[in-house]
Amino acid sequence: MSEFVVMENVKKTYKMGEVMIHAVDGVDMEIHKGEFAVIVGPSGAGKTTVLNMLGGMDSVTSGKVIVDGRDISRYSSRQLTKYRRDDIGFVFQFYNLIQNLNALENVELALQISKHPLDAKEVLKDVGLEDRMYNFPSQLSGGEQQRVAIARALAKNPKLLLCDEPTGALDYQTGKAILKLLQDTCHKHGMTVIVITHNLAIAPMADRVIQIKNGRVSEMTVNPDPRPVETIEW
Amino acid sequence: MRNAINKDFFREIKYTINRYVSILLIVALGVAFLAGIRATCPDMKLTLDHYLDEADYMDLRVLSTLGLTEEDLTAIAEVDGVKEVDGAHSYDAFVMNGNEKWTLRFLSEPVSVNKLEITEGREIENANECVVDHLLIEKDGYHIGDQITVMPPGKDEKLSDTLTESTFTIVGVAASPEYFTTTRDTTSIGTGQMDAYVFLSPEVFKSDIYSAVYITVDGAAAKQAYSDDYEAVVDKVKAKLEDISSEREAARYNGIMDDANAEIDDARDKLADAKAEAESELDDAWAQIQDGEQQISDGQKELDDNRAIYEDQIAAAKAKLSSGEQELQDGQAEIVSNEQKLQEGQTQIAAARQQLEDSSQTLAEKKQQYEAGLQAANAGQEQLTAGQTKLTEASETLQSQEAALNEQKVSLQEQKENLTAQQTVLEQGIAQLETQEEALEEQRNEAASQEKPDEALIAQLDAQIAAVQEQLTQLDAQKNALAEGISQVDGGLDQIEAGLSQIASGKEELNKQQEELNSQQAKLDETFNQLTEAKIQLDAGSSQLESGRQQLESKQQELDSGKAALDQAKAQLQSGQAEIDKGKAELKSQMASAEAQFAEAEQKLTDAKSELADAKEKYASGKKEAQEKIADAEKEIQDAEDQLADVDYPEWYVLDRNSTQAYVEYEQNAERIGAIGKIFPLIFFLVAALVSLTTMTRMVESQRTEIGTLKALGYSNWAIARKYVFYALSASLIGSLIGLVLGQKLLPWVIITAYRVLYPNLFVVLTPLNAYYSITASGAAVICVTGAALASCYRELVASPAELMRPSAPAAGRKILLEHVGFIWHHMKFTSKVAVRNLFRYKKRFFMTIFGIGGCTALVVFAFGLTDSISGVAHRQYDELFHYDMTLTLDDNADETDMDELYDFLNRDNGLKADQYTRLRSMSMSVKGNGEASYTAYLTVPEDTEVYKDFVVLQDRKTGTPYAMDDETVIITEKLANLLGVSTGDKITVTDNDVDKEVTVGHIAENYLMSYVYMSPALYETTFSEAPKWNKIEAFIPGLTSENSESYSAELLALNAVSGTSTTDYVRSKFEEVLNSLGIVTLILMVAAGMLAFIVLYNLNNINITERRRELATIKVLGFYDLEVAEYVYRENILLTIIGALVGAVFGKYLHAYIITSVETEVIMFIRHADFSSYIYAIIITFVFSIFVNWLMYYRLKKIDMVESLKSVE
Repeated sequence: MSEFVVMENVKKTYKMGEVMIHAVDGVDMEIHKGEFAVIVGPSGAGKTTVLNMLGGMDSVTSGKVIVDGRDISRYSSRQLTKYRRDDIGFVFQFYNLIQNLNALENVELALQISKHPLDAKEVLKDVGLEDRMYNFPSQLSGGEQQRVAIARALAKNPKLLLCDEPTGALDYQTGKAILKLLQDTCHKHGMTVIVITHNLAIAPMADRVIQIKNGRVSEMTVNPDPRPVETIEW
Repeated sequence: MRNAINKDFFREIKYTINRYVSILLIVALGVAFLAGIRATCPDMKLTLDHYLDEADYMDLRVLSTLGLTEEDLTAIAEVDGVKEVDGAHSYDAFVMNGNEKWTLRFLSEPVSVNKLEITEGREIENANECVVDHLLIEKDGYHIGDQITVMPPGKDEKLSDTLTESTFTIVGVAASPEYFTTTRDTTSIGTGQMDAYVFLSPEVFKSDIYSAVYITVDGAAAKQAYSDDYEAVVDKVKAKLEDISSEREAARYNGIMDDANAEIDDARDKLADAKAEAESELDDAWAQIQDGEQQISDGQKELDDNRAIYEDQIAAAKAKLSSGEQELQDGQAEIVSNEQKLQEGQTQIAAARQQLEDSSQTLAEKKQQYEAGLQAANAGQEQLTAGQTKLTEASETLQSQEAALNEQKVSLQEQKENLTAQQTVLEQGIAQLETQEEALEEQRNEAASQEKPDEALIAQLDAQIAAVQEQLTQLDAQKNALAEGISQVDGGLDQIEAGLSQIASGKEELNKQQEELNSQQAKLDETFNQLTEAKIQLDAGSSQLESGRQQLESKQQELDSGKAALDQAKAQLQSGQAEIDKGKAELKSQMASAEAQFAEAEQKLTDAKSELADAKEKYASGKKEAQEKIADAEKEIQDAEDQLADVDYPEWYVLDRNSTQAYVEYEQNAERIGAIGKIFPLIFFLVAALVSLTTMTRMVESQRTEIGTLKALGYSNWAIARKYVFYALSASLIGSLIGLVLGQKLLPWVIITAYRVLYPNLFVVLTPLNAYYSITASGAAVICVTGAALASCYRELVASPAELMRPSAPAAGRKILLEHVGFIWHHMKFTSKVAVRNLFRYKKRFFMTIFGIGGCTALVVFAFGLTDSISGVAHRQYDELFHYDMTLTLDDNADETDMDELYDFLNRDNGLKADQYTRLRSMSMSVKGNGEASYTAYLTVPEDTEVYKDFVVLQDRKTGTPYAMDDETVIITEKLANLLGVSTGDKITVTDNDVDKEVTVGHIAENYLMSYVYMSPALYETTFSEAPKWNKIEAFIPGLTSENSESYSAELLALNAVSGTSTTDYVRSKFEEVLNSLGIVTLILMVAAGMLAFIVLYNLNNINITERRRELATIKVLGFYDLEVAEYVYRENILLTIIGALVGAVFGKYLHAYIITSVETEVIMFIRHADFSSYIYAIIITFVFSIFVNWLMYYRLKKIDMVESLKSVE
C-alpha cells in the first residue's frame, strides 16, 4: 500500500509578541491509504496543530504535507478551502452540529457544497440513525450527535476522515461505539481515518500509531494485527 | 486581588473596544438627539429674548386713531410700572431707484425703546442723514454714502408738509428690533407692500403728533419672552394704560375741537374784511378802463388820414422808375447778343490759330528730318572720298613694286646666262683633260707593257696623269659651284614670279573695291537728289504758313476793335443802372421812414387796446377770483365745520407684543420644533437605549462561565457584577456627557442659524446647557444601560456556580410554523430554509433587529414625510383649492363712479386683463364651538355662490366630493372644525361687533392655511339682518407674474376704489419662505436617523457574528468559501432588513401622522400623509446602510478563525 499522507519535517511556529512558540517542531510521518491511524500524545504536544495542518485549517511554517500526492502546504487559502470541501471529512470533539437543523439537514448542509455526495439518508442509516433523522440535535444524545457528525463527514465522500478527540465528550460505552463505527467505516469502505486522542489505550485498535511529544514524532509503529474495539478496555 | 479584578475590567474594555465604543456612541447619539432637539425650542426663545432685551424692545405700544400728543406721552410715562416711553413718527413714501419705485417707511430714530443696532457705517448725526434697512442695501443695491430722495405718495401731496428735508444721505445700516424678521409690513401706498424701512432724525418730522408710542415695562426684561411670568408683568401695566385711555381720548378730542373752532372763527373774520376791500378796488379799476377806450378811438382816425396821402405819392415815384428800368433792360439785351457774336469770332480765331500751330509744328518736324538726312548723306560722301584716296595710293604702291620686281628679274636672267656660258667652257675643259688623261694612260700602259719599262717614263707619265686628275677635280668643284649659282638664280626668279602674281591679285582686289565705291557713290548721289526735292517742298510749306498767320492777325485786329466798342456800350448801361438804383433806394428809404412812422402810431394804438383788454380781463378775473376766494373761504369754513362734526372720537389701542406678527410667528416656529422634539427624539432614544441594553445583556450572558468561575472562587456577587455595571456605567456616562454637550450645543445652534435667514437680527445665538434635558436624557440612558447590565448579572448570579460553569444548553432547534405549510416549505431552497429557521430561532435578535431597523426606517420616513407635508401645503392650498390670482381690498368710501372706474380697469387690456372676477364680503371674526375657546376665522360671503366655485374649491379632503353652499348652513374649514370640536350638523357661534350669531355647520371643507367660514349672501342677510357690503374682489388675471404684478398692483392702488392688493403668488412665496426653514430640521433628522440606522445595524450584526462564531467556524471547516459563509449570514440579514424596513414604513406612517398633527398651529393644517416616494426613499436608504454594514461585516467574517470550531462550548 502506498503512502497516502506524508509529513516531512513539518514545523509550525506561532509568534506571540516577542516570543516564538514552536507548536510543531519538525514532524515526519506517513500514513497509508485505508489505514486507521491514531495520533496520540499528551496535551500540548502539538496533536491538534498537526490535525489542523492536515485538515487545511492552518498553514504550515515549513516542511511538506503531501496528501494523495499533492503538497497542500503550498496551497492558497482558497485552494485550502477547496481541499477541505472536496477531500476532507472532519469530526469534532463537540460535534459542532448546527442546532437549528435536524439530523438530516445537518448532513444535507455538508452535501450542499460537495462534488460527489452520498445519499444523506443512506449515510444516516449506515451510522444507525435511521429512526432519528428528523430530530434536532438537542433531542439527541451525545453519541447520536457524534454519529450525525460522522455521517455529515462521510456523506461528503472524502478522501480522508479526520477526527479530533471524537470520544472526548462521550461516556465510555458510547465512545467505544463511536470508535467502532469509525473502525468499521475504515475497514468496510477503505477510508483513511486519522483519529487524534490523548488516550493511549485505544492504540491497539489502530493500524498505525503515531506518538507525538513536544512537537515531534517520538514513535511511529505499524500494528500488523489490530484488535477490534470490543476487545479493548480502558 | 482587587488589582486583578480591575485589570480584568480594563482588559475587557480593551478587547471589546468595538462593543464599548458602539454602546458609547449609541448612547451619545440618543442623548444628543433627545436633549438637543428638545433644548432647541427654549434656546430659540432665549436667543430672541436676549436680542430683544439688548435692543430694549417694546413690551407695549399705544396707537390712537387720532395719533398721540406730547401730553399723552407724559401721561403714559407717569403710569406706574412704565419704564421708558418713546414716541415715533412714521411716513410711507416712495424712492426712485433707477426706473423702479420702492415703497419705503420713514421712521423717526428711536431714543429709548426699540433701539437700533448699527451694523454698518455710523449713526445719524444731522437732519440730512439716515440709516437704512439692510434689505435696502442687499436687495435694492444702495450703498452707504448714496443719497435717497423722497417722493410723496399722493399726487397733490407736498413733501414739505411732512418732512423738513427731501434728500437724505445713507450713513449706516441699522437693525431694528421692530423688524427682526425679513418680512416687512403692508402699507396703503404703492404695491401695498413696504420694501424697507429708513430711520431719520426725529426733528425731520414736522408733525408733533406721534403715530405710535412704544413702552417698556419695569421688570419685564428680567422675565423671558413668551413666558407666563413675562405676560403677567406686562398685563398689569397694560391694564393700567387701558385705565387712563378714556381720559386721554377725551383730552385729545377736546383739544382738536377747541383748536378747530378757534381757527374757524378766525377765518370768518378775515373773510369779511377781505370782501369789503375787494369791492372798492374793483370800482376804481372800472373807471380807468372807460377813459382809455375814448383815447384810443381818436388816435385811430388821425392815423387813417395820413395813410391815404402817403400812398398817392409813392405810386407816382414808382411809375417813373419802372420806365427807366425798361430802357436799361433793352440795352442790356443788345449788349448780350453782341458779346455773344464777339465770343464766336474769338473762338474761330482760336481754332484757326490752333490749326496754324499744328501745321507749323509738322513743318518743323519735317525740316528736322531733312537736316538729319542731309547730314547723313554728307558723312557718306566723306567716307567715300577717303575710300577712293586709299585705293589710289594702294594702286600706286603696287605698280612701283611691280617695276622693281621686273628689274630684278632681268638682272637675274643675265646672271643665269653668264653662268650657263661658264658651265659650257668648264665642260669643254673637262672633256680635254679627260682625253689627255686617256692618252697618258695609254702611254703609261704602253711604257709598262715594254720588256724593260722605262721607269722614269712611267713615273713621269704617272705624275702627268695625277696632275691631269687634279685639274679634273678642280674643274668638277668649279662645275658644282656653278650649278649651285644657277639654282640660286632660279630660286630668285621663282620668288620674283610669286611677287608678281601677288601684285596681280592685289590689283584685281583694288579694282573690285573701286567698283563698289562707284556704286555707293551712285546711291549717295540719288539721296542728294531726294533731299534737294524735300527742301523745295519745305520751303513752300513755310511760306504758306506765313501767309495764314498774317490773315489771322488781321482778323484778330477786327475782333479787338469790336470788343472795345462793346465795352463802351456796357459802361453807358451801368451808369444808367446806377442812376435807377439810386432812385429806388431813395424811394425805399422814404417809404421805410413813412412806414415806421405809421407802425409806431399803430403799435401805440394796439398797446393801448391790449392794455385796455388786460385791464378788463384783470378786472373780470379779479372780480371772479375775489368771488371764488370768498366762496372757497366760505366752503372751507363749511368743510372745517363739517369735518369737525365728522371727527370720530379717538380710540386708544394698547397692544402687547402678541399683536406683532413676527413675534408670534417666531414662537410658532419654536413651538413647532418643540413639537417635533416631543416624539421624534424619543423614538430615536428608545431605539438607541434598547440596542445598547441588548448589547449589555448579551455581554453578560456570554460570560457566564467566567461569572461562575469567579463565584466558585468565592467572590461576592457585587464584586463580580461590578465589572459589568462599571462597563455599562462608564460607556453610558461618557456617551451621555458627549451627547448632551454636543447635542445641546450643536443642534440648537444649527437650527437657529438656519432660522437666521428669516430672523437676521439674531446676532447672538444662545445655546446653554439645559439642566432639565441634560439630566433626564443622560439619566435615562445611564439607567437603561446600567440597569440592563445589573439585571442580567442578577439573573446569572442567582444560579449556582456549577450551573454557570456548565455550558448553557443551546437554544433548541424547533420546527417553525412555516414548515407545516408544506407547499411553501418544500419549494424553498435548502439555504433559505436554514435562514428562515435561524431567524426564528434567535427571537430576541429577531425582534431587536426588526425594531432597530424599523425604528430607523420610521425616522427616515418621518423626515421625508415632514418635507412632503410642509411643501405640499402650498401646492394643495394654492394650486388645488384657491384658484384666483389676486385679491383686491375695496375702499370703504368708494362710490359708484370709483367702482365703475375699477371695473373698467379690470376689463381693459393694459398688458394684463382680468379674465373673471367676483365680489365678496370677507371679515375676520371670532368663532366659538362647543367649548369655551374661540378662534379667529374669516367669514367669507361670495356674491354668487355658483360662480365662486371657480375661485375656491370646497370639497371633502379624503373623498374629493365637492360641496355647494346653501342658504341654511355654513361650510367651515377642517382645521377650524377640529379646533372647535364640531362636526356636520353642529352649531357654531360667530361674533361680529360683540353680537353673537349662531349658525349650523353644513359641511367641513379641505383647507390648509387660515380658517374660513363660507356663507351664502342670503344666509348672511337672514343672520345679520343686512345685505352684505362687498369689501373684496377676487380676480383671475392670466399672465400675472411676480415681475409684472408690482406695477399692476401699483396701478390698481392708484384707483380710489382700491385700498389694498395681494397676489396669491406673493402670499404663497411668503408662506413657503417660512416653512422652508424647517428644511434644515428635516435634514438634521435625516442625518441623525441615518447615523442611528448605521450604528444599530453595525451593533446587531456584531453581536450576531460574535455569538455565532463557532457555528461559522464549523461551516468554514466544512469547506464553505468566504463568500458562501457571508451569504449564510447575509441571507438572514437581508430578510431582517426587508421585514424591518416594511415594519418601519408602517410605523413611520403613524409616527409621521402623529407628529405632523402636533406641529400644526391654529392657522395651519399640514398634509397628513407622506408621499409614497418618501416610503420608497426611506426603504432604499435603510437598504443602503444595511448593505454597507454587511460589507463591513464581510471582513470580520473572513477573520473568523477555524480553530474556534475546536473549542468547547462556553
